[in-house]
Amino acid sequence: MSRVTGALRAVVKETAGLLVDDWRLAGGVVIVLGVGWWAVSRGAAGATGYVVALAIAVVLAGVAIMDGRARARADARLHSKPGGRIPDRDP
Amino acid sequence: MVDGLLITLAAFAGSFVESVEALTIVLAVGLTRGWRAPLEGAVAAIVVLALLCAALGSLLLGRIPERGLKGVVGVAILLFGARWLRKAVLRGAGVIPLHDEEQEYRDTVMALSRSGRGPGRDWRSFSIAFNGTFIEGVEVVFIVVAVGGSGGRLVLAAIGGIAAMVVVAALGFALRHPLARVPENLLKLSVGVMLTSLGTFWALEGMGYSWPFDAGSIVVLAALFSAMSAAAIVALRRTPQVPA
Repeated sequence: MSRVTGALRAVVKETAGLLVDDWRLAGGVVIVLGVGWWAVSRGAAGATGYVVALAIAVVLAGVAIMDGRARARADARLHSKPGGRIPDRDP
Repeated sequence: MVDGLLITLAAFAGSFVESVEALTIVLAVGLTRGWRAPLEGAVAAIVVLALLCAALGSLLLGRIPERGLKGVVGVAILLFGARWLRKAVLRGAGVIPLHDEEQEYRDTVMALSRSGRGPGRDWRSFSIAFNGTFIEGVEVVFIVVAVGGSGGRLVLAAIGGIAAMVVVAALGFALRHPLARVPENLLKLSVGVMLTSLGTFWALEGMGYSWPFDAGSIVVLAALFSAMSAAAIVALRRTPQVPA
């Protein structure tokens, strides 16, 4: 039984990993969709879909930029330490 | 028409990228320890993946109401595509390293050359090829089933996915070398844009929203996500870098 549970847990974890590897991104997208759903259920039409898509694109770009800048700061901290190693990075 | 083309293209491009990664592993094993076991491993993985694809496809088609399916699968594709797009943006901006097929190949060859080979069937080669092909293929199955199942175009998606596998296998057979010159990140960026666009389109349709230009809206969404990804890459490239 514990083997089956373990296997199921592994499958769920792998599947979740396919969809979510950054909670800020997944959370942001789900919140935007939730607001979109609320608007559509109250009769919103016309360009609502494009507004939702624009919000998703902004969340995506924002998370990528925050992530990139956080990595650059981490690199800078590593670089400032004596003996600090800069991870390999392709130009 | 537009969504059919996008579905086939998304399945083809997604499958192409993942097949290149699987090919590198199979080539490294085959050229180091002989071809029989890794080819058997790769074929076994493809058979398991095809069964998985057929099982998931038949589960989705006809058993779940169209609108509910579009909503659930749309959200799943959107999250999956956004994940690809985020990584492609970070790679495009040089924040994380590009996937290096040559390095992957050398690492696998080195690991294999350190381990000895016993008499009889080479199970190590079989399992490395099986695992490599299966792990890369799971994402292809997800893309094919998700984009094909929710639009009722599973056959189109499967054709796109299988065509990419055949092209990559033929190229690998002809060149006997990893396909290191494939613009992998550009392909991943394109797949990310296509999946995110299709996912947004279906997720909102599943909520009961009617898009102004119907499937033509997918093109507008793709343009929007492409522009925003390009803007994010430019913004990240302008971030001050650590001096070398």
